Amino acid sequence: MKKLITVVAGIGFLVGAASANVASDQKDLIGYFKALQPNVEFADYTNGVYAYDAGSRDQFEEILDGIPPYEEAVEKGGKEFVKYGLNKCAALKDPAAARVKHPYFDNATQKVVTLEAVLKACYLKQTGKKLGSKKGKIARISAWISDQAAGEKVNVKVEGAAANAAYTQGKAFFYGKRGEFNMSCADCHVYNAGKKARADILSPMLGHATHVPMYRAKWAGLGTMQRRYGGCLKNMRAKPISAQSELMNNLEYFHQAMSNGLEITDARYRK
Amino acid sequence: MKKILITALSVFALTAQAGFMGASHDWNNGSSNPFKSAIKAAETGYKANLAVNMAWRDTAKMIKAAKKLNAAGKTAAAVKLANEAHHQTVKATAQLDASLTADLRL
Repeated sequence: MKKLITVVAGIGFLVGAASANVASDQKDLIGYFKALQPNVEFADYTNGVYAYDAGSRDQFEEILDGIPPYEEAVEKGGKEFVKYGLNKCAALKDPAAARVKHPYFDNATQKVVTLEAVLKACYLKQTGKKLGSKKGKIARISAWISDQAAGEKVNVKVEGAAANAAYTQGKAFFYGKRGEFNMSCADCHVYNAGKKARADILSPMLGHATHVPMYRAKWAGLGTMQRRYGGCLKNMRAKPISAQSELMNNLEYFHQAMSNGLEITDARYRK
Repeated sequence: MKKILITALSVFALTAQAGFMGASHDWNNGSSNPFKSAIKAAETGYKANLAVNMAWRDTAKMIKAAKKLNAAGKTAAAVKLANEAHHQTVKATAQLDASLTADLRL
């Protein structure tokens, strides 16, 4: 009995330690950004870079006041969701819940499961065809699913040693330098967030997960979070890593967890 | 005495062999073709970088371009480019080593 209590307490401690890791990482990050931009409230990080710059914010709101350039695509995504029978897959039956639940760590496969991974699997099951990972149909459908969860909060759970290992690998990727420019994701989106890189203001990582998939004016279309990873890696002159690979999923797991508590938004326009 | 004799003979044999190879011999990778050894080093390094997801964006292009230059007979330029590609792979490996010991906190 004594042994059992020790084992249970030990497991509880490990789970607690793993969860505390995420909470303390986020606390550090929020503190860092608070020191960087004292006037920006945590909740406003939902709007990403538009929380930092008034001029860009005005432009952003003007776009949202009209007909946002992604509106038609998102509507199409909703129709495609039904057309391809994606609502018949258990994991996607309740789209809003699906957005909030993903990414999560699946203990059975010992891997992170992203919303796009579920969409791909369901699409294959329903149509017998493969779905891409970065843009087009998958981004439209994923954006429509995310729209259903607008107003709810990002709530990525990291529980258990294996989940924590995946999270830690994602974190190491985010802070590790790579590519010919010897830069990390954090170099732009933490240490230099709010500063200008040519004509653009570098966005803070806090809030990156609130509006994905995002519409980027540069793309003239929608793209998943992992499409953006590919673009960032190319900019750092590193070879992009396949979307939906284990490493990219772990990065997304960490990345989204850092936005825990922020509202999911349907305002998905970015420069 | 026997030991000294064996050592002396061994040194003599190796020296003679080295002299026979000539001064132009490239001791790197056991190849006498400078392009071959340079491109082999670049390709091996790139393969290792890919395996750990640390490859740089342009290394493969540089390797391809170096091969093209060599095929066109521009050996000196080909060797230079292959060496640059190899240098990239060495730096990418160093990034991986650094990331393993990096402090992940703010």
